Amino acid sequence: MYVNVALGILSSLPMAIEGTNRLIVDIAMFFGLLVIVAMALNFQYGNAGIPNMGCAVQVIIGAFSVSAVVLRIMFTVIASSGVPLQDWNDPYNWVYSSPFNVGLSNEFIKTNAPIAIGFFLLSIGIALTLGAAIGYLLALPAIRLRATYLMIVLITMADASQIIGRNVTFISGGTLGVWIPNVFAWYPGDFGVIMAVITLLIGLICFFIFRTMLNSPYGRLMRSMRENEVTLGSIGKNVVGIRRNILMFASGITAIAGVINVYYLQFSNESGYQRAYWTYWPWLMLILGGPGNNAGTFLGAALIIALRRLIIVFKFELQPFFFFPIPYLEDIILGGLLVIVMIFRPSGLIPEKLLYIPGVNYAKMVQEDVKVDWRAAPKARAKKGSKEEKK
Amino acid sequence: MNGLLLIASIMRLVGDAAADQYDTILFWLMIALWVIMPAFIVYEEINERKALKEAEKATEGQV
Repeated sequence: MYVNVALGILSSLPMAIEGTNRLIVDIAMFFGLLVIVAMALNFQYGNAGIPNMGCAVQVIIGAFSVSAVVLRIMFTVIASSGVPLQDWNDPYNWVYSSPFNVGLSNEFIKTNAPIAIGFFLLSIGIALTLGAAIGYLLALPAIRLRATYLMIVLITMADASQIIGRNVTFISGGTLGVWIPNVFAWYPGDFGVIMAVITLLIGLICFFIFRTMLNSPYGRLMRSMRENEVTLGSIGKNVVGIRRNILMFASGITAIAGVINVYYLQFSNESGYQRAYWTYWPWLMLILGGPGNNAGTFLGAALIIALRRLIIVFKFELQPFFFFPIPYLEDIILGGLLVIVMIFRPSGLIPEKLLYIPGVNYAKMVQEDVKVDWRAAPKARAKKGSKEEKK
Repeated sequence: MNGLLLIASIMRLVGDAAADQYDTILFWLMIALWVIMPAFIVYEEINERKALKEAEKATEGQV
């Protein structure tokens, strides 16, 4: 009953998604999108100490999995339902018949919501799998390289994947890109709102997955690896395996952000996955908020995204106050904030706290009363040894 | 699957005339999600910090 009353009240306040509401939806959408990437980065760097500068690769894999795999499955299913799609098999037609085919696909999706939802879920499944596979590939150099060299290798990997996307047409349409059908074409209202709600829901699910993992013994293992992996190796843990698992898991989650981004833009092109946007901004969010805790990641993401969207939306109003073109302001803020945070607040706005495990008191465990008479111990050991010799 | 079909067909039946209503509901759902997530994190963070302080106080002077 209460739900009905609440829905009744809410639906009696009709509002158009325009003006300030549009800005709120826009900020919420990008907050949900980038908070997934930032949380995965926090999982890798903040908790396991893996400096992943290749977030862009993981996002690209998610985006390309939609344009290269799911889009073909979509077209095959839709064409088999009798929709007269144009040929899409050779690279030329793949790019040039894309707008026409996508237009017809959208018409089909309008009356076939369950199939469209199935496509969306399939995209997430494929992105998770391919993301985990790319995480495995990323882990191969991670096993042998130290942090600095690993960062360099991952940055180059991000660029390499962009170059591959630019030159191999059947992946994402090369330099021209391909159009992606609107999987929420069946929704009669505003597309941005439903996309923002779904993105935030996925973000919430990801948050609970990461939270559960970090509060589990595996999370403590990750933190111990971050602190001293030599010690961890010396007590028999497989450091290489742990690192690989973490990279695979986080890559899979980050790839979901790529899927959502592609469906939101309804367009896939490699130029939208530059490392500055998908690697450096999430790093700034993490460093600003404070690595090693989710609260910091959320705060960092919220501040940075609000700032960026406001600059983008109010660029004409802001322009008279600056002597340089306003698009550069974003980059200046990225660099400036990073320097300021590193100088004045290296542990972020919310520094990492001691690990709290309900029911476990480390101080008590440490002060366990173990009575050892160190003066008598060597004598006792000698006595024990002589007895064993006699036997 | 049947449930999804039913929901989809109801939404199509109601049509574009009700689009504003859906948007309003989803808009407020979005705001709720946006508020709930950080609020939960902050609540948990405060609780953990409190528990850590209490554990520290309880063992103070014993070590």
